[in-house]
Parts: sequence; structure tokens; C-alpha cells
Amino acid sequence: MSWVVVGSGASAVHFAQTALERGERVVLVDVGREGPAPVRPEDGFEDLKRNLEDPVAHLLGERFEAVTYPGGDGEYYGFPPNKAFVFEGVDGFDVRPNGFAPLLSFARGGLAEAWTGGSFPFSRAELGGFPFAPDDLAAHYDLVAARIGITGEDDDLAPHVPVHAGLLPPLPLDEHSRRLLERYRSHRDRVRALGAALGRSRVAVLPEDRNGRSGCRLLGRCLLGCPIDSLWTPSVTLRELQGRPGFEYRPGRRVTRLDVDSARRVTGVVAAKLDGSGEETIPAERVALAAGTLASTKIFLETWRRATGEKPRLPGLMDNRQVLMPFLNWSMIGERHDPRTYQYHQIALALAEDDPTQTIHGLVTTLKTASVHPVVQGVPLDVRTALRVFRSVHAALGLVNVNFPDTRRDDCWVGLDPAAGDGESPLLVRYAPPAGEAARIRSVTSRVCRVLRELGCFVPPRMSHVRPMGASVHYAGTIPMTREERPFTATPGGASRDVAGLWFADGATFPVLPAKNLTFTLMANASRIAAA
Amino acid sequence: MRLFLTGATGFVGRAFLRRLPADRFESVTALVRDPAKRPELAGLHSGVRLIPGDLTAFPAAAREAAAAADVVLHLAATTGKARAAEHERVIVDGTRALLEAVQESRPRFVHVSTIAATYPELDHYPYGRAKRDAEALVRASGLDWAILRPTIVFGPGSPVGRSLRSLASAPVLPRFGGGHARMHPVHVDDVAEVLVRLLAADPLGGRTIDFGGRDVVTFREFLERLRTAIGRGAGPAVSIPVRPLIGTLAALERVAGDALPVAAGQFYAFAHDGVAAVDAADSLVPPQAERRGVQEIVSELATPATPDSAFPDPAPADETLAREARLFTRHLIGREPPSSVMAKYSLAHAPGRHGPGGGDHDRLVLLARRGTFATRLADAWAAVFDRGGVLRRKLVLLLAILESTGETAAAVDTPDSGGAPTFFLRAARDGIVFVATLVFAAPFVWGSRRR
Repeated sequence: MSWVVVGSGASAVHFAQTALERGERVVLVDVGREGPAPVRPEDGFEDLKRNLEDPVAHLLGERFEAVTYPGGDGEYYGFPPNKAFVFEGVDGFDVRPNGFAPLLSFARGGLAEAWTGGSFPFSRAELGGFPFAPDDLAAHYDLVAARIGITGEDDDLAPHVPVHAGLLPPLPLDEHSRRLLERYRSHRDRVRALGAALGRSRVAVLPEDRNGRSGCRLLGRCLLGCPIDSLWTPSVTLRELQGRPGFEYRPGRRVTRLDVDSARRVTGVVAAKLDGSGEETIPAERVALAAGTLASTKIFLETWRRATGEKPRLPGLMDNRQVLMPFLNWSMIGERHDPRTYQYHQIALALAEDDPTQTIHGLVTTLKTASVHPVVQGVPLDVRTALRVFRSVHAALGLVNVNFPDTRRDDCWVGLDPAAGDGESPLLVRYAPPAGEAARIRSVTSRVCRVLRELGCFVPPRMSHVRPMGASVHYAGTIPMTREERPFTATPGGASRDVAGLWFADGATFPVLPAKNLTFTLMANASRIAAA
Repeated sequence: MRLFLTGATGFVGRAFLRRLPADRFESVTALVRDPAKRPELAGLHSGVRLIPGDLTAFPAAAREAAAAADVVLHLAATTGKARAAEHERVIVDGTRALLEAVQESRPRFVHVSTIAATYPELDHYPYGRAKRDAEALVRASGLDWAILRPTIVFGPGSPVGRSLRSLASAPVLPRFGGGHARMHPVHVDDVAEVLVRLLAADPLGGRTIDFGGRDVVTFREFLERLRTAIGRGAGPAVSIPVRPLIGTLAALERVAGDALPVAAGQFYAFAHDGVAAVDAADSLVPPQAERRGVQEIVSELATPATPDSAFPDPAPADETLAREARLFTRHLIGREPPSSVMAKYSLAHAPGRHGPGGGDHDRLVLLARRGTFATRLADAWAAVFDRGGVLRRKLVLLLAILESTGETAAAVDTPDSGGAPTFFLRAARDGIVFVATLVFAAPFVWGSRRR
């Protein structure tokens, strides 16, 4: 038996790996844009500035495209130039959003090439909305954790973030994170009284050498892309799969649709070749779409249009609203940050709600090595004074990325543009926030403020940034898994109810979206589908 | 057909020239105050002929070119905070001079006015008054004329767009007049399209066209949508009674002239509805449904400013950029920049780079170039009144280069010694110095504006 898998992101590589391990053959079709090779992998972030011939071009780009100017989008950091390939578009893939700012990736490894490694299994309550037993997924959480390596601890977060097998010991804490956790332990009762729990973040990074990958050497270069693959990204697994028998990787192809016969059974995958040599049809009896929710949905809709002439709207698009809340830790003022530390979140936060499916999830990132200029310009002073103030508070600054859950609603949908002609149609994406969202954001951010105050921190008023929908890149819900026999849905095993021989192995089938980063669950679910 | 054009280098003029089909006119002649600063105009439409001068000092060459034209497009005007006498001189006297120059040759005459000319009172709005009076001159000219009155015009480089974006980005959203006044935002490309159509119409037939975009909204809704699009999220808002504000500013203007940072007239749009009547019968105007609406305009405004590719702000001379790099580095980190920093700073200003803008026309950049102390004054002023402006963009660019360069990175990011108490004492001192610098900067900034 063989599979054609579309995409090379987190879902795709774990679907492929499980299928291979079950003795099946896999052809993985992908656009597969590649980034530059890592430079000076032995250097830390500050070393790069001294040792590179042209550090400005490396950090800001040849065209200075990574300079963040005033009047931008309110984000606290931009992506460095060497990550630009992750978000680079591709001809012919036209998305027209409304109320949504979609990020798409055609990179080898997909969007998770630029992720922060957060790997949080859904709780049993959160999996209650899925049409299969939580235990069905548990074994695949364990399997994926064993493959990629996830650090963390069995701590106060465990009721919200279940402990799976193979959890690796966490990395050493940076000083700021250490003080936050220490303060949490001494003020634990007061923080718990607010319904909050803190603990070590779960991160897909290796604390020591393992399976040919290097352990984290605290280079402080996570945002630039870990040069030694300690921080797992899908391209790490893809490279490993390329050496396995039964696996074939075909990059340079953008899948536009599937060919189906009169019984609506898949017969092939149609891809536009990026070298301009036209279309290629790859014969296939079983296809797993794992190109990401929006891309997979577009491929399905284009297939459906060709087969039926219809352009249905698929409701239920979900994404996590995120609010970025900067804070200042009084005890760290005047301290010097340690540039040789893990750069991303080392602490996570859970904020309980009456309904356990609605638990709020936060990632606490302390500011270590980072671009200074995007932060300095936000200080309401002249640049010179703002820089002086910033220098003294750099090590005291942190950011909580507060994630909100989402549910499927009819007024959030994707569909092909009905006005388009016979060619490939643009994908329309519409998103409307749920009723009462603004009040909930106010209520939650107020609670997070109280938690931070208990931790000895100050939250500057009016500095919180509500990110636009689409920014979290946790898209899901367009073709939900359900036990009900309905069109445009998938079975609990991820099989399409509309096209025989088609499975969905990415977020498109998630029936609910808890507040956590969904990537770990995407990987586990893709593996579950491949195993089934 | 020959076109004579005023206001070619302005916001609408540039959009018009971009949209004008290259073969529409056998010649295009533009009256430009300083052609040397706009060399790119010569590259358009087989060469736009540039004649230096302005309307109130109408050179003989310009008179001849205007008299030789088959059609005149009159866009030039003062904007913003100019004094009443300046509005009168440029808009009314300038229009009169242009009309006199073509009285014999009698070309078709397209005059671009403003929806503000329709406001029921213009007592404290000299710009609106001057536009209204200039319209009267055009109507009485005996020429074949058309008057276009756009509403508030948005698009890349829109001055009003930048102001409204600043308002929408503020920690507290100001609602002048409660934000109840209705606005009818129009995109500059739609205005340019109507101008192209008008110039093709013969005869013009003495028509006045009020022209807005697809949607009518209140200022409150527009600013809230813009705020959301920028990603600021809901925040507190404060209502500011607009008529008392206009009255107060008008009284202060009588005493302080144009020394105030804002003018009473700039708030008229918040006190009066600026909505264009729909004239479906006018075949020269694209149907309302086909024009850009609030959604497109807000989305574009929310996107960080991108350079105008057809009319890039020219890069300053190399020696000017070298002086900026030295002055600004001393200002930020108190030392001379290494040569690599100076080279990178200059390179970022070159065409095709994601640069900060040239700044040769920016009063704060011009002030900052005078010396270290002036840089300090201009930086403080920009922190409050021009946070997205060219000067701050230049300083942020330099900061990005300094922090990325091995030799200077430590100077950017090494904390001063001392814990929280020392920090707060320093912060208090810095805050006082900042406010004092701001106050001290005012006369220098206002002085530079008058020049």
C-alpha cells in the first residue's frame, strides 16, 4: 500500500513517519522552499555580531527588510531575514481574507520552521469535543514526544497540560525565569487563589545530545533558527525520512487539486510544477492532505469544484486569539541579561475557567537576546532617552502571550471565490470574532495582570497588544471530524465523507480549538490517522 | 492635445500622473516649485516638461505654456497649518493668476477643490474659505470649466491618513465632537481616475462634482476600525467638544499666529458632515459601488508605510547622510560611529532598500541636521508629535544597525549600574529633562516650520 502525502509540515512528516513504520510507501509532495544554511553554528547570538563579515546584512537583511520601523503592526519582534523563506508566497495561490490576516507557508517543513517549540497535549476535557477517546491519542503523544524530544516537568501545570511518556528534563532556566518561578513558589497560594498555575513550559528542544541531534548549547539564536537542530522543526524529521526506504520526497510542486473518478474516488494528485514546466499528475489511490488547514481546504474545494461544479462555503474556521502583555520584573531592574540562554518561553501559565474546555493558556517569555530597536521605539520618550531606560530594564522585561480558545461558528468560513472563472479560484477567508470577545479579553487580561503583580511584576498600562486573527497561525475546523454522517466532514479516523481515498491529516478536521498551541496535537493526530 | 498642470508633485498630482495613460496628451507641462527635487517627473509620459515657479510668481514661460494648453488641470494649493494670508495668496490669488493667463487662449479648465467648500460656515477655516472663493473665480471665468470636490482623500502618502493613523494609534482614542460627524473617505486612485475622465471630456459643461468613495461612516466608526486594523484593540476613548476647541484655537491664532502646532481649521471635518451627494447621472464619475470603500482604505492605512515607488523620496547626498550618521550616533550612544555603521546607514537610504525615507523635505530632519543639540530637540519633539515620522525612522534604523554591529552592540545594550532605586531616580530625572527639552524645542520647531 502507498500514500501520497501533501505538505511537509509538522502533521505531514509525522503522518509519513507512522505510515512508513507500518511498512507502507510514502510519496511526499511539497513546494518545499528552502532557507539558507545556518552560519557559524558554534557561535552565540552576540558572537555572530563580532565574527560575521557582515552581521548587519545577516540580522537585518541585504535590503534592511528586517528593520522594524515606527508605525508598524504593534508586534514586539519581527522575523529575521533568514526566516523569510518560511512565509514566502507562491504564484497561483491567491487568498482574499476579511477579518483575518492569514500566514501561509510553502517552506520545507512548513510554518513550524518558525515556531517557538511549545508542545502542549490537550487535556481530557479539551479532547472532549473530539469524536474519539482521549486514550486513542495518548499513545501518539508519547510516540511523537519520543521522536522529537520534549522537555518539561510534572508540576502545577499537569492538570491542564497532561504529562506524557518520555518527557525530558527541562533546560536550565534563565535568571529572570528562575526568579519568576521562585516567586511563584513562595506566593503559590495567592496565585492559585486567582485560578492560575505556573510551571515549566513544554518545549520541543533537546537538553542533551540524542539520536544524532545536538543538545541545546544555549546559543541564544532560537529566533534566527537553531543552527544545531536542538529545537525540533519538521525539516529535521523530513531529512531523517529521506534516508528511509519506501519514502520519496518530491519538492517543487504545488498541489492544486486531486483527480477523482465518477464515483468520487481519488485517482491522482495534480500539482503545478514550480519550474514552469506545467502540471504533473501523480497517480494515487490514497491521499493524505497535510498542507495546513487553509491550503488543504483549498485543494479539497478545488477538487470538489472540478467534480461537481459547486463552490460550497465551509464554515467553522478557528484560530486562537492572542494578546501580548509586556511586563517588568522589579527585581531584575539594573541586571544584565545573559545572552547564553534559551531564547523562547521557559514558563507557561494556565488560567482556569469554570468550563475546563475554556482554560486560558499563556506562554511567559523573558527578554534575553533579541532585537532591541522594535522594543525601544515603543517607549513613549525620545529615542535616546528610551534607549537609556531600556538598557536598564532589558533583563527585567518579559511578555506573556495569552491564548484564547475558539469554537466553530457559521460566520467564520472559507470558500472559493464564486466570481472567479474556470481557472484556479482565489480562496475567500472570512472571520468574525465571537460575541463578547472584547469583554472576555478585558476580564482575562485583568486576571493575568493580578497574577503578574503577585509575581512581583508591573504591567505597563495600555501596552498590551491584541494580535489580529490569523497571527497565531493555529488554523483549524473547516472539515471537522464527527461521528455524524454529514457532507464536508471527516470521520473520526480523518477520512473525507465526500471523496473516497482522501484523508485529512492536519488542523482542518479539529472540531474544537483549545487555547493551547495545537502543533503537538496536530502531530499526534496525524500519527493516529496514519496508524488507523 | 496639450495639458498644463499645477500641483504635480502633491499627493493627488502624483497619483494622477501615475494613472494618466502615457499617450493621452502630446505634451504635459507642469509648474513645479523646485524641479531639481523631482527629477523622476521628467521620466513620465515621454517627459513631463517642468517649469520652475509658483502661481503667485508666475514666470513668463509658465504663462506661455498655460496659454498654449488645450486643457488645464489646477491642483496646486496650500494645505495644513498655513496662515490665512498664505491660503489667500496661493489658492485665491494663484487661481486668479492662472485664469488670467489663459483668458485669451480659453482652454478647458479643471479645478480641484474640496468638499470643505460646501461647509455651511467657514469662519475659522481659511483654507476652506479660500477654496470656496477660488471656485467662484473659476465659475465666473467664462471658460469651459469643471470643479471636482473630493472628500477626505486617502492613499499611499496621504497626509490626512497619517494624522488619522496617529490618532487611532494613541493610547487614548480622541473623539472630536464625539466622532459623530460623517465622513465619506475616497481613495486617491479613484480621484485620479475621475480626473483622467474629466480631462477627456469636451466640453466640460460647467459642472461641479462632489466626489467620495463607496461608503459613508462616522469618524468614530472609521477610527475604531482603523484602530482594530492596526492591532491596537479596544482602548479607552475621550470625547472632546469640537466647536469650543475650534473657537479656542481660533482665538489663540489671533494672538500667536501660526505658532500653534495645530490650526482651528484642521478640526472642521470633525464638526461638519463631509459627504458627497451621489450623482448617478454623471457619466464621468465611476459608480459608487465600484469605488474603494472603508475596508480597503482602512486596510491600506493599517499597513506600514511603503515607499512610493513612482516617486521615491530622493536619497539625501552622501555627505548629508554621513553627517546624519555621525550626529545621530553621538546622540544615541555618545560616541563616533565606526565606518561600517556609516556605510550601512547610507546604504539603507539607497533605492530599493527598506529605508526610512530621505528627509530633505522633513522639518524635523532638517532641524536635527543642524547639530547634536538640535538633534536632541528634534528627537524629543518627534517622540510626541511625529512618532511615525522620518526622523524617528532614521533613528530607529541607526539603532538597528548599531545593535547589529559587534563594535557598538555593547554600547546599545549594557545596563547602567544600580538597582531599582537608582533606576527610578534616573528615570525621574530623564522624564524631567525630556519634558524640559520638549518645551525648549517648541520655538525651534515652529521657527523651522515658518521657514
